[in-house]
Amino acid sequence: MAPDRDVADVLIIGAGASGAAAAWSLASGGLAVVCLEQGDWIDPTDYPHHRPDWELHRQTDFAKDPNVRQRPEDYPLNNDDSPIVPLMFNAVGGSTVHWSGHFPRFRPSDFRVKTLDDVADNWPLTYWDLEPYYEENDANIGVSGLEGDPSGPPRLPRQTPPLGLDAAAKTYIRGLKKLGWHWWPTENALITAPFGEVRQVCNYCGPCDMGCPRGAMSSAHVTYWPAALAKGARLITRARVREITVDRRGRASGAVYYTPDGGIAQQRARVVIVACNGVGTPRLLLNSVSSLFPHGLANSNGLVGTHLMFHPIAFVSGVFPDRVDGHAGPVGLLLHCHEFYETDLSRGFVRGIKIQLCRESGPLSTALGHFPGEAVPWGAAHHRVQRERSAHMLAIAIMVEDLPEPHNRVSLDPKLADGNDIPAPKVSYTVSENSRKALDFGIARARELLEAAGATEIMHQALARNSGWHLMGTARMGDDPGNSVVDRYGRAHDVPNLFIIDGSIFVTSAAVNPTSTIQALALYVSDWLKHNLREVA
Amino acid sequence: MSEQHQDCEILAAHQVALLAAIQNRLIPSQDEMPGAGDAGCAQTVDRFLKERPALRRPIFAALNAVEAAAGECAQASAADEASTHVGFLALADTERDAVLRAVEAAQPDLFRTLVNQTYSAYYTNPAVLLILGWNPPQPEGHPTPPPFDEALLENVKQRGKLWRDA
Ligand SMILES: Cc1cc2nc3c(=O)[nH]c(=O)nc-3n(C[C@H](O)[C@H](O)[C@H](O)COP(=O)(O)OP(=O)(O)OC[C@H]3O[C@@H](n4cnc5c(N)ncnc54)[C@H](O)[C@@H]3O)c2cc1C
Repeated sequence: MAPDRDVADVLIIGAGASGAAAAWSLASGGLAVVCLEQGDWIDPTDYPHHRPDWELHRQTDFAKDPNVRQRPEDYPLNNDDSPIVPLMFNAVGGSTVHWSGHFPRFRPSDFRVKTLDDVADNWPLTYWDLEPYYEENDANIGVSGLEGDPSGPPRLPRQTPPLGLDAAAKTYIRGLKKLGWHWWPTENALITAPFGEVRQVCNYCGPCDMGCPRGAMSSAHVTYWPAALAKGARLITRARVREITVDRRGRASGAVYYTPDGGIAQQRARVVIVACNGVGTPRLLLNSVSSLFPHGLANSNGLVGTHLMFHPIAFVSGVFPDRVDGHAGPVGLLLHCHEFYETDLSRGFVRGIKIQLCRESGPLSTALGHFPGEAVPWGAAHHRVQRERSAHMLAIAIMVEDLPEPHNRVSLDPKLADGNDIPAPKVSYTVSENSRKALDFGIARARELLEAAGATEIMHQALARNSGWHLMGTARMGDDPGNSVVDRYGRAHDVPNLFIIDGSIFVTSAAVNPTSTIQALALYVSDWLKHNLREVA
Repeated sequence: MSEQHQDCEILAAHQVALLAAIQNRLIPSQDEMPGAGDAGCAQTVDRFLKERPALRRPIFAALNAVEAAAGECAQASAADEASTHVGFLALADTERDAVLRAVEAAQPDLFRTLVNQTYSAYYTNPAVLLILGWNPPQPEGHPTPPPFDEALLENVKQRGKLWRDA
């Protein structure tokens, strides 16, 4: 029988970091891939980086918080019950359209926290299972950095060299040497030397968090999507999925989505992959209600949406007497310190922290006190303080491992809905005592470091509200169907041809940025699927 | 003349004048730097209000709070005279600052919105950025620094493996 051309082999929902990697992998394997994405391509000329009012766009069309940004493709979130606001971007490339691109890997211990530290659960896979996919992903997208960091397993040579040695780096290194702590140049999803034909290398312009008009950031819309489309994947933009449909046997049959004119369309598929991120994925599953799945798809045990993890973040800023030109380079990328990464119970908390040595941004960011959480005062002292801080300030981000707790969750808001009237998510979250202790420990270390580096004034923000960059845990992976939503291959326990590949499936969060692990997982799941399609579909 | 200031679409003329006067206290003129009101930041905030309706309520409320506090301040200093309405514009600079501090203490969130939007207008104003020497991030970017020097990592390398087997 000839295959039905209207039925894709694989339907991927969401064209962000994970969806793009899977689309490339599966299309390269010869599968008919269709991807539905609610956003559109961002026109490179839309980025604000060329305009004098560029910093204003952090409050408008390039805001990280979709509730502030309010583009038509964004969906609203009810964050009233959370001290941390989820941040994301909805477009081809997903949240990698505007991110920092810090690209560390998890460590082996991050996958084994139950065994090592008797907390949470082990992952059903190990670092070593993912290692080849980490390497493959790095080679596909282009990572800058320096191999040999003793704080993690060895890697192959990085695709492009680490960022250069500027005033900011020298300042931090001065302090790090005095304290004798571990440090290393960050690994970045960003190219510092030619890589690929159309991308320009980083020219240290600074505000990666509003996107990269040069294509220097290794974001999914400049890396995987062009490659996936060349391999025959079909990407349908401005297609907002309302629900995943199921057949009478309880298998996923495709998805129903809204077209730009408000019409309804359906895409059928033999396999469905959800890649809508740690908030969008549980939202979609909970919205996919049917007589067979009255509580939402893949949710027979009620776990969809639970165990939400962010990485609670504190910022500690130092003001230096000499210029450090914090604005002159990728805002989140420079050096990291893993001195306090592994568990040491004498610190009063379990698991660890990452100290990320970041920069600053332009004069408006400084005036508003974006990182220190303390604005430049108004009135007679304004110009003096602004002068003292502008180009003289650096910010350290303290990132702590957030342990999975069932009460931290994404649910559906009874009232709020998006532009297509699809119920919107509600986020309920509290910072645990363990995270709070870890943050406080980190703040104290960052203060020590800034002082050793020569800062004359140090300020901190004990918990940054606008820091929900990392959305994890809401459809957790595990071997036990009673305690998890998907199995070790990202396959829903309840629905044999439904897969989830974004940060939702994380079992634990580690204390490093998640996207290299998200993409490695997407490639790993796709690889398994390619080899097992006959059994699955 | 219509009620509205000729350059503004959302704020009425008296609100523009009030906002500019407030802004000149938030970011006063000093040396080569213009005051925020003088730099046209009230007109810029009017544009913000047009583009982002959610800002209107707090900005209007903040302006009203300043006017109300100015009235109280004027009454207190002219206790027994039959006072006609005296607003912020009639006060001297030191009194204006006292009024703003009182509003800040009583309604910190509202006041913060006023300050933040004034800063946002000021530090995205081309004339101000020119004086401060800030260019947009692109197309020039910033100079590429010298390559990283791996020798700096010698001490770190000597410490050996820092991760747990698992
Ligand atoms: C400001 C910022 C800075 C960051 N910095 C870093 C960093 O330095 N390092 C790091 O590792 N990570 C960083 N992140 C996080 C990183 O961007 C995410 O981890 C990553 O993009 C997640 O990939 P994903 O595929 O799970 O989801 P996303 O990339 O968020 O993509 C999900 C896609 O699904 C689409 N979608 C959702 N629902 C639907 C629906 N119903 N129908 C159709 N389409 C839908 C969305 O429009 C979106 O495009 C940052 C994020 C932000 C916002």
